[in-house]
Amino acid sequence: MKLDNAAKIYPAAKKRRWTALFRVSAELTEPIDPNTLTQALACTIQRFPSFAQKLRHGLFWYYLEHIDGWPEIQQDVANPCVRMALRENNGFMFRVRYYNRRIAVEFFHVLSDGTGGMCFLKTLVAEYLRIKYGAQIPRSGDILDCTEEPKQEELEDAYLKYARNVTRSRREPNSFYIKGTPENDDFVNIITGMIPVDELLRRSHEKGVTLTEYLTAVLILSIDRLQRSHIKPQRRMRPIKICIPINLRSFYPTKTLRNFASYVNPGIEPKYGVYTFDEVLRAVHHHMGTEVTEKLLNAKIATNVRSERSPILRIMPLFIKNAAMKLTFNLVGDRKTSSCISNLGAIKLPDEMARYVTRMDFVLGPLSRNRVVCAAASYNGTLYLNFTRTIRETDVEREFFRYLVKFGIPVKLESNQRS
Amino acid sequence: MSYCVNCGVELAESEKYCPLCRTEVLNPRSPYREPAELPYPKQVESIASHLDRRFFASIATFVLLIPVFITIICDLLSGGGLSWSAYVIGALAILFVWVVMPFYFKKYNYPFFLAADCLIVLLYLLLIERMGGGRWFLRLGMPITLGVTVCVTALAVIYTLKNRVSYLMKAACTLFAAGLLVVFIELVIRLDQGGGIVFRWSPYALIPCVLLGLMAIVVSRRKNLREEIRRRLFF
Repeated sequence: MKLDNAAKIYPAAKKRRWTALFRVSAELTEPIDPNTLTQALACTIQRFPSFAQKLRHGLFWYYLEHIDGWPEIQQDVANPCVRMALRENNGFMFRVRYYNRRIAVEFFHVLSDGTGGMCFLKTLVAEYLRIKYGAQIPRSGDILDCTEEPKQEELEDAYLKYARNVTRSRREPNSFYIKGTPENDDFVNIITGMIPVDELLRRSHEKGVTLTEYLTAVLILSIDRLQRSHIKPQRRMRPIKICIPINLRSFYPTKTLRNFASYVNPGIEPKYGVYTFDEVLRAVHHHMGTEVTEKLLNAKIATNVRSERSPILRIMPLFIKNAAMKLTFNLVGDRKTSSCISNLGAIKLPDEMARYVTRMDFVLGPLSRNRVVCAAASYNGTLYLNFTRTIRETDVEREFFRYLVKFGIPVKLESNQRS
Repeated sequence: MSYCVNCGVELAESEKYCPLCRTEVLNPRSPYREPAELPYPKQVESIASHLDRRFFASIATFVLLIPVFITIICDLLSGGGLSWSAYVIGALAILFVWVVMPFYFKKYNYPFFLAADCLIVLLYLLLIERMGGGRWFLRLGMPITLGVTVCVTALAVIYTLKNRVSYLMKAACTLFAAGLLVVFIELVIRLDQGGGIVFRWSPYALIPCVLLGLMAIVVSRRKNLREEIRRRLFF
């Protein structure tokens, strides 16, 4: 099976000490039984053949080869999403981990994006609950039925199917880079903020924006404060932009379980002056309004699809393509944005399942160049905001949560800090 | 539930310090107690870097190739044909096999590597004999090299035995090996020169080695003697 269009960059961009990973997790009411979880995984993997794949080198492209079986269940660690050695784990590019009452699945971005990953997790948890408690969970929408055959439409490369032929330039100025002292021994700091969704929704609707735009604006303000404290002359300040992945499944009628997302980079230019919160909100809101349209997003993905289809690129052997993509990624890659905020949206579970699930999280692994990233998912009236940070300084998160507290939004924090 | 006095955020029970500003959580009504269930396990995963050695081995190989090419080019330019550059290339080949080649492999399998080291030295000596003239390789060069290799391999075996040998015993074995090696070298030289097997100078090396080795064995066996020596020498 070929890699989908977005997945093609990840094996080339992968470094010895960095892989593009993300993690979805669910917390249940009772401690996890690993044997039941293994059985559940065995059933689930039959329904998701696009996840049971091994990465192989071809002559011109990487390709995926189906593997039988399933990866071993592992114990969770204090610093998730840090490494994935493709030689271990039988070549599987995802792993299932458990700790106390939590089931977590970590994926290499080659396999799928957040939506696909969440679908896998929901089905896995449904199978686990069926085996452990005999719960009859209705299989519809995101929760797939493991007794039926995998559908061909779930394996399609939606980028190739829907991209048209008009492209768009990807040129953007580089944005401010968040510096800091790196953590030694590969530790990754995770701070989880638990915020009542109703309060946030009320505030954002008051201002006439969506929840994602509201959080983006607060994040931009926090990074702006950080830049102001480090760079003195205002005219030397770099733009602050945040990468927001957009799920393209809401624009096109596809049921694919592989990657199908694009991104926008809203932001501000601090060199023009000190922005107030309302000004930032307006900038973000209108940027999203113009950019998040079917036409412009299509032009964005068409640019990537055109590179994939170009005859010159297709006949180049893999090692040249690899070197070129690595170089492009290192030069261009994450330099356009200061940080990333990925909102999976509201996660709804059927009542039979919601009885057993207390919490659902979405955590991004550290990005190649962005030191602080944020992932959000809301479940059962609470928004779980997970910040992943590879530096020691907590400036960005501190300003972010202090802004929320100043606006009168209650925040509860949990972290993986070592005492 | 405790709040951070600095940031104003509520903190989960597992937090001893505020994760945002590292201010200690001091709540007089509910002092901090580590909860039974922490949100994250204590085990930290680390990225093992296996490929570091191969990467540096490749760089070292590349660096070693530079003098090879330079000497070849100089030799070709100066006199037509390769004459003295062969010595340089041979020496660099020895350096490569001794130092750089083990980094390409995951495990240091010392019989294999010692055999490879011995082989490359034998080839170099053969090259010198061919280029310089003489017939000393078979009678002198090869036996001595093989003898040294056997000694070193035996010592390596003793040093890496499953039941750890005490360091005094290791010293004793090393001394015995050194003494025997010197005797062997003189034997080879005598055989080559003809005129009977007479040990002229090797006993002067063998006897002190054997004596010291025996002393080491005695000291390693008797614990009181060891303690006494330790006390006297202020170890």
